[in-house]
Amino acid sequence: MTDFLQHVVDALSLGSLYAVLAIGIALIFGIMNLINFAYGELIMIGAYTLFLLDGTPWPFQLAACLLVTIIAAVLMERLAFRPFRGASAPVLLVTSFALSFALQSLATVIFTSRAKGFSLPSWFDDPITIGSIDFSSLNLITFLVMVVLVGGLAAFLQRSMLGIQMRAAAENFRTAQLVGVRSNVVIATAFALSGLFAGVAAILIVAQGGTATPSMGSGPVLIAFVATIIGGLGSLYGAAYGGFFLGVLTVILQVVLPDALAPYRDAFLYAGVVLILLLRPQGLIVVKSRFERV
Amino acid sequence: MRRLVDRLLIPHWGLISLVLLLVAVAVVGSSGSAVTQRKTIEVLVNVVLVVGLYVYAGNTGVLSFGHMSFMAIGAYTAAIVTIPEIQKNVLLPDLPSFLSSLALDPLPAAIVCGLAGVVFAVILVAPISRLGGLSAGLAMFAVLVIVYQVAINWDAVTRGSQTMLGVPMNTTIFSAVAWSIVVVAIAWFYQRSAAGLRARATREDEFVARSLGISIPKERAIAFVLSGFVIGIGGFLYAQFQGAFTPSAFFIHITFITIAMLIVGGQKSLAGAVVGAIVISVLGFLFGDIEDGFNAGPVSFAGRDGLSDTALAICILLVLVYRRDGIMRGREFEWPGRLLSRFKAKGN
Repeated sequence: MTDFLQHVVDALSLGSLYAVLAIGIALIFGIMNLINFAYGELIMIGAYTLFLLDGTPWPFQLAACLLVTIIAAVLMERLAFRPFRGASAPVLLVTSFALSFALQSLATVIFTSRAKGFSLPSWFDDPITIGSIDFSSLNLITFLVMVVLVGGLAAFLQRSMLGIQMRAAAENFRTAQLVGVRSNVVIATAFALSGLFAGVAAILIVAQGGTATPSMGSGPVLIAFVATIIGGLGSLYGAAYGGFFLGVLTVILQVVLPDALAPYRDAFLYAGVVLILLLRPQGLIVVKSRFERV
Repeated sequence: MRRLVDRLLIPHWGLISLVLLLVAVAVVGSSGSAVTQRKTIEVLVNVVLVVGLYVYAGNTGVLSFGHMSFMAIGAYTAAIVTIPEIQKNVLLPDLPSFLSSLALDPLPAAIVCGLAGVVFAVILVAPISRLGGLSAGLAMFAVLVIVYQVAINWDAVTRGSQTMLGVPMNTTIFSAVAWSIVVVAIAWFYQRSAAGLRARATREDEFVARSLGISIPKERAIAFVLSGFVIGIGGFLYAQFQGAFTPSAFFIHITFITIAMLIVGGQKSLAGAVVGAIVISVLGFLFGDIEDGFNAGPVSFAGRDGLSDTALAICILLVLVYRRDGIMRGREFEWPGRLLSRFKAKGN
């Protein structure tokens, strides 16, 4: 029973991290049809900001990280993606590959490819014992952060004028423009929010690993990409479910697989992804407006 | 003569021009230093891989993130069927005996590798070709991860994460250019065949294609299996060119770079695939030289890691900013007849 609860805690915390990652990708996809692979580099930029500000008071360090990723995300849209407004999906995709590649290489030029080690305040990773389950405060923080972010995002999208405009734009961009939604504002907001999620992800990932490397964003962004698609492209809740699903499946495989098969964990994970796609090709949550009606 | 021009030269000029282009690349490359020659082979191997990707992604419009898994299959098959027996006993002691005694010549080995790609494609084709658009692309990415994981863990056949080495290095400029021409011809005749045209119809409009009685899964399946063959051969050429490789050679980096080559050239035409592969590879080499640092008279420049990749990425972005549909904009090279006749008219 204790073991089981332990695994539940692990699954919740990993699932929460993946959900945060996936929402950051889904926010932009919904509006621009762009899968932004350079999202991983926002995480990388956040991590290097934390590294550069290592030693400053932690509230400042964390706030600066979030601010920098938000600014970087908005700049990314303004400088790199705006010329491609309305381009086809593959072109947008390669643009984001190229951007991701450029930022990674630039980070290699500046910081070299060696990992920079540092640590966040220790309360991030304090061991906590409740009853007979041991876990780190990071598990708890990750879960709480996810709940707050998703709740905040939902409130923003449901209640605020800008949020409603974003939903309209995600539903049908042309029509939204016709009724007076300003596309630049909506897209900039989507990128800023995605930057915020990337910054949070950067903090959580650094708290876990304690290093910053130029390529640190690639792994998380691929997971986010997979989670977004199995969740149902264009649906924010779908992305969150997709992320959660991947996190939980990862932990389940870790527990269930016998030692001989343990190295193949990711192979099984992705076999699960293929299976989901076959059963529900349009994802866990289907967004009707995304599919052409005949 | 006139008939020859009308029947052969004009309709197949798209193919002939690409063959001439590849031959030109090979001739220019082979006259250079040993280093240039190796880079020329690399360019031609990239052409084979990108053309393979094009056969599927270009004709069906479904961008696959996992086609380099066929390259892995081709390369490991190449290792298993071409490494001499004595070395294989040392490198892969756990290989079944009928495989360890096998040592094929390059030509049959290439075909075996292509067929290995076909077999792998046939296993995958039923589920993949039923999925549409991004789902199919992602499912292929999942396949790529699975192949990578298996390659890195299956010590008996792939040496796991250790380097697979001792593959005879038989890929020369000649064999590379010959295979790239064969592969370009395969892609050309496929895209002009009835099946190819049907696949292209599904790319342009799924619903209209279906209303014409075209089965989308069937047409995509044909393109998929054919691309498996081509990329399998690409994997063979790569293995016999490098001589040694690890599973990470067939993972995310090569996937992204081949996709970028295809899109930069222009996804919708064979000429785009070939030109994109050549342009990006050559640019990559040029920037690589700069990264190593150079001394040109008074100008000296100390290299730094990451510079060449930064420059390459910026070039890709610039090309796409100015040519959204790629360098070739989805066109093949056309017979310059109209240009010639206009020129003649001016002369008169």
